[in-house]
Amino acid sequence: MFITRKSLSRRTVLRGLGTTLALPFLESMVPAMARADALKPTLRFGAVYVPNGCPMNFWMPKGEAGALQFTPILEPLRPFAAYTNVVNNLSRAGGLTVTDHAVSSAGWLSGAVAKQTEAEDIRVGITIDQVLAKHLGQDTPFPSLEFATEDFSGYIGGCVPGYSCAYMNTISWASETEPLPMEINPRVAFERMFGRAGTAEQRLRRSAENRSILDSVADEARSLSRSVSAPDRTRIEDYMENVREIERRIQKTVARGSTSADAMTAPVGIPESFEEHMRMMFDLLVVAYQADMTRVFTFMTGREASQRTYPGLGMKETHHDTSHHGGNPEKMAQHAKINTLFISLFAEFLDKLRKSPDGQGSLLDHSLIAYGHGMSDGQAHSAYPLAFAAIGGAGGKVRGNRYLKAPEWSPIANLWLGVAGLFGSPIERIGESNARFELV
Amino acid sequence: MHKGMSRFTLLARAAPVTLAALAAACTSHDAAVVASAQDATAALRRYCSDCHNDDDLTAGLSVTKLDPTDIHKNPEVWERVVRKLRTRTMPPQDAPRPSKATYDSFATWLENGLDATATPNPGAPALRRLNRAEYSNAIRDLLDLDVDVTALLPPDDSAFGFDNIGDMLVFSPTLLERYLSAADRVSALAVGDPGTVVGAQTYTVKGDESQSRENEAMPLGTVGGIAFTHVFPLNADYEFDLALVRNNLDVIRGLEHPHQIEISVDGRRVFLEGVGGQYEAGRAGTTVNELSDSTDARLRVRVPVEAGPRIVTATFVRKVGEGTNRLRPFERSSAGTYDGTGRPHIKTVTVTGPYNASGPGDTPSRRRIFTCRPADANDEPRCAREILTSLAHRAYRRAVTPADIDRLMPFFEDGRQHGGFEAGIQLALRRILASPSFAFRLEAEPESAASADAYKVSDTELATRLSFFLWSSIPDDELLKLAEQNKLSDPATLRAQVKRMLADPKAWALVENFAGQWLHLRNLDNINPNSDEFPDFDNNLRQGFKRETELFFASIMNEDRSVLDLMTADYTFVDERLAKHYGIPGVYGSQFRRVKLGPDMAARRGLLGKGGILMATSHADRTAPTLRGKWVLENLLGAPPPPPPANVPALQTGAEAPKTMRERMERHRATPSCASCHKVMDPLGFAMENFDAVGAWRTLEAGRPIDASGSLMDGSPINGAAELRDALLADPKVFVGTFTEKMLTYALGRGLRYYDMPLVRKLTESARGHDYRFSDIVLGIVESTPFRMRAKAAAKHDEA
Repeated sequence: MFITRKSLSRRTVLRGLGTTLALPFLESMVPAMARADALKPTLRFGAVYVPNGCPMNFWMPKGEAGALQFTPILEPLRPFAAYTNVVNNLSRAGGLTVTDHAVSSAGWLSGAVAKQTEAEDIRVGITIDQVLAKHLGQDTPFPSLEFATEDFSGYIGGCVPGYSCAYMNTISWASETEPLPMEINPRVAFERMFGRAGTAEQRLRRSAENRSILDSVADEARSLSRSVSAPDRTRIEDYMENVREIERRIQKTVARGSTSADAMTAPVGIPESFEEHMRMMFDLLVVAYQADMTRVFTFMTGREASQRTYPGLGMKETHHDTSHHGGNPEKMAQHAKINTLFISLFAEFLDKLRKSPDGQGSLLDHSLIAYGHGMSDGQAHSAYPLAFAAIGGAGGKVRGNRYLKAPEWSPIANLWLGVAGLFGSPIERIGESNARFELV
Repeated sequence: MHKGMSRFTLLARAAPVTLAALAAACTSHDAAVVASAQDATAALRRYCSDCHNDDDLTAGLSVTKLDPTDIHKNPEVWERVVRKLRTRTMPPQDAPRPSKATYDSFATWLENGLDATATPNPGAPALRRLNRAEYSNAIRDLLDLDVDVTALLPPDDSAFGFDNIGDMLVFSPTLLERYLSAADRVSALAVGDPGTVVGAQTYTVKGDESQSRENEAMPLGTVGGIAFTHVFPLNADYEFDLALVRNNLDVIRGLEHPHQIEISVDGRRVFLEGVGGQYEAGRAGTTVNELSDSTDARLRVRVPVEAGPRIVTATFVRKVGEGTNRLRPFERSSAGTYDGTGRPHIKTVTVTGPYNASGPGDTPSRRRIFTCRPADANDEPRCAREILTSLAHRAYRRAVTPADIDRLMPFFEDGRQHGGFEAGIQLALRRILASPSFAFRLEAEPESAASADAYKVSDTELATRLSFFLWSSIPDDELLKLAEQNKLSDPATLRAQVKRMLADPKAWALVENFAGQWLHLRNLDNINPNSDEFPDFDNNLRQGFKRETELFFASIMNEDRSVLDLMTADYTFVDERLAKHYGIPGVYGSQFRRVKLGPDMAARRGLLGKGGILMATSHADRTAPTLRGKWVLENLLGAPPPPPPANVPALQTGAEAPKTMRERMERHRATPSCASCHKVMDPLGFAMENFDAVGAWRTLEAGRPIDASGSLMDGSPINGAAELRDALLADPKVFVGTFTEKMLTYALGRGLRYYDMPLVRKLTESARGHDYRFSDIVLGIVESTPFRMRAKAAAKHDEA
């Protein structure tokens, strides 16, 4: 609640579809941000997920591997060609040709196959962002941030039969059994990062109070765990793990000193326009990188089987219905239009990263952002070949402007294994990996 | 039941009979009625084993080794067989199918066998935290405070159709962090933290909310606008700041003519200002955007408001002589960018404050919290103890121990030293709300319980189970008191409490959370019918749909009607907007009222005629018979179709595009791999084709008469929604059983397993005597073994 009533923030919300003016939201906060250590570039990882696949002939370049060719959907990435690698021939789900929505979102960053179950024994695999969060995330207040745009509470009966909804509600898993909730409200995300309103002294005091509350809560939980059943005791132990993690985060935040959040304009809530919502979430991620709040993020820009409509693009059907184009060229073009909208908004985000100085370069120089889908063509729910691009210099380790072909039917897990190596993580396996595919 | 049991026991004791011998015996046996294991084996052989044999293993099932003399060895498989028989979903339509007598007798014979051998297993619900709805209600009941919980906690993962399933309600660091921050905010708001700094909250008029008439909760003589309840944290000045809708050039539209805008707080007008026409004379700025900015800048006022929840409205004053139909080709005149009515509309209202706070005021929350006042500084710890004991008692839902208070008092002392008595209470309250005793639904396990033992939960635990089932909230004082006196488990007391709780307004939680999820009403906000196809559709209608079905479900509950009335009742609830949509004359105004659905409206009766359900099972631009059929199978018959096959081929696109829905679907079903399931789902949906994608009645589509002929699961023909409804109730046990299953899932917070099915049948059967009265089913659930008991933790989920 640090809103200073600037007319700018209101205009942000009010702006109609299709305009491309820069968001004042971001600029208003940038000067106030505490910047990361300028001497040594910090590596960062992000992953942006788009649901319902894409019409591949509008997305994937044709021909041999080599210099990057731009297709209609990839066109918005042209300004970032020097940072961009497009990878073909990736697969998911053990080489199955077709799968479904639930395993697509759950299997993307995990490179694993979700177990078919409704509730009690959900299982996929740790996702690459969480592998990296454990590795890169220990010095920041948030080991990772998980964002999304759709409130899944309005999707009853909208999960794939036989599969837990958890597989579709998040793309990030802390372990093979721990789905991480994703935040959709820009205001909540903002306040998570910068705390509730108040003076620096108030906020410092609040942090201290939270720490004593956590101490006391841990003590209480310990005593409660004595009288419950064994499985419940395990749950309380997990809870106490969480308590310790939050204590760590508070310590980091306090050690960081006061970020002058008061100078910033907090977003008002969830904007009605999809484009504005996407921009705000992306802007918050830029800020999170700039302020070194986190070095790892995941962003599920839509939920698999999304019912969102895009009247601004002149189409009558929902995203999901459009993706089942039935081979109809007109509908495929519409699906491509939706995908182009998503990638254009993503390109705006890349532009902000490139314009954010970071040490000797820009945030984009020091990041690697994965962009892709959990399924190939939405019509058939096919799992091969997946549309995938990685953008960013990764601290000079990755050169761009390339169209790469992995060996046919390479599990996407192989790529994640390569990414893990790039960031210095020692893991030898992830999901169904059977080799290491290097972006370098 | 007894007959079945004795026959069964007899057979079970007999020497094992080989399948071949049984089959041979059956050749001379009349297989029409299944009355013995031999008959059952013959029926299996005749109708099932062509596909479900050791070689084909269709759907992973072989019946060749299934021995009906030994039902208790394979209850899980037999339950699957029963379900297929009861819902007539097997054998497939093109295979030889049993007669009605065989279907019914086979199912009954199996059920009797299963029920007789059932070993009660209450299961052990997983330790769960409060979900979002429960948290919000608990805060309301504990502190008399309505919070916007969507801004405090993330939504919960659901399973088995509900978001209160224990297995899914786990913590993560993110969630714990949110609980902590919620505790901070809620305690500050409830106590009235004098340190509250200026903050802003923006309320937005939904883009498709109609703006051309007087909206519900608005002052008389107004048009459009927005009404909301805002909790003002302190007695102070607050700023109200309006922004009008702008077009895509960032210019306010509709300022050609003069209009007046008013803002009211609790019905008291605090602001009146003109916009448009002569009111815009002398505006500052040169560009159109600057002019618009200066108009918005005028729509701002700062006034004193007393702390507490207050209704704020911002709306246009209706002009004298102004009709409501002016320039209104469609129902929808909206705050969206593409509105063409030429009127200005309000887009957002922002409330900013507090400024110049004068004190915490007298709010419902403070009255609830401060049950005593310290006589002097020395008296403060005593009064604090009293307040905190009372709060912790209700928040933790059990007797408060000295250890509990010892954990709270240091927080009181810390807060008091920093900011006085009230600050101490605030910090200790924050600690209560962060407590695992509040956040978790803990149930103790007696150390004496041997493994695999089932034991009764304590009375206080039962009180919590009961209040979270019926109220989605914490128990009230009466319930807690009875529990602490160990009186709640007394059968008569328990029944009386259930009746009392169902009659309490808090039982609306069953409507919102149980019916809202069972019937998919929660999805409505997510559904956006295409505005080219349905130009009249607006948010008022969407909310009306939700309200209608909620009130309808509530009427069954409050009047303790038969749950069959959910399907057949000859009344519904409408306001003017919805009545118009349904074609019901003589309904005016935005109040919902009960109206009769006469014989001419027979298709509207019951759930199948509710616009919200029809819309929730449609595409944005057209009906979806498949989705409607699937919804019926899942939610009314308890027979969800299997997931779509892995390899869905592209639909054949012919030279000529299909014109009607039916043509479209026929093509769909021409594909063999799709046909097997769509043959069951689609024809159920076809019967509802007279309702379009927003639930309006129609007789034509694309210029041709609607064909509402369909068929049931067994292929028998039906025509229209009324016939479908009657057919679905031919055996009322199927619908009532499904209702019971859904409610039992919700009540227990876990998925049902095969060992729960005998209970479902028992509850359904015992409700039959009272024509399946609503309260009989609720009471049956509350008195059941799994609701009253818990298995020692060793009762793990058996892997099947």
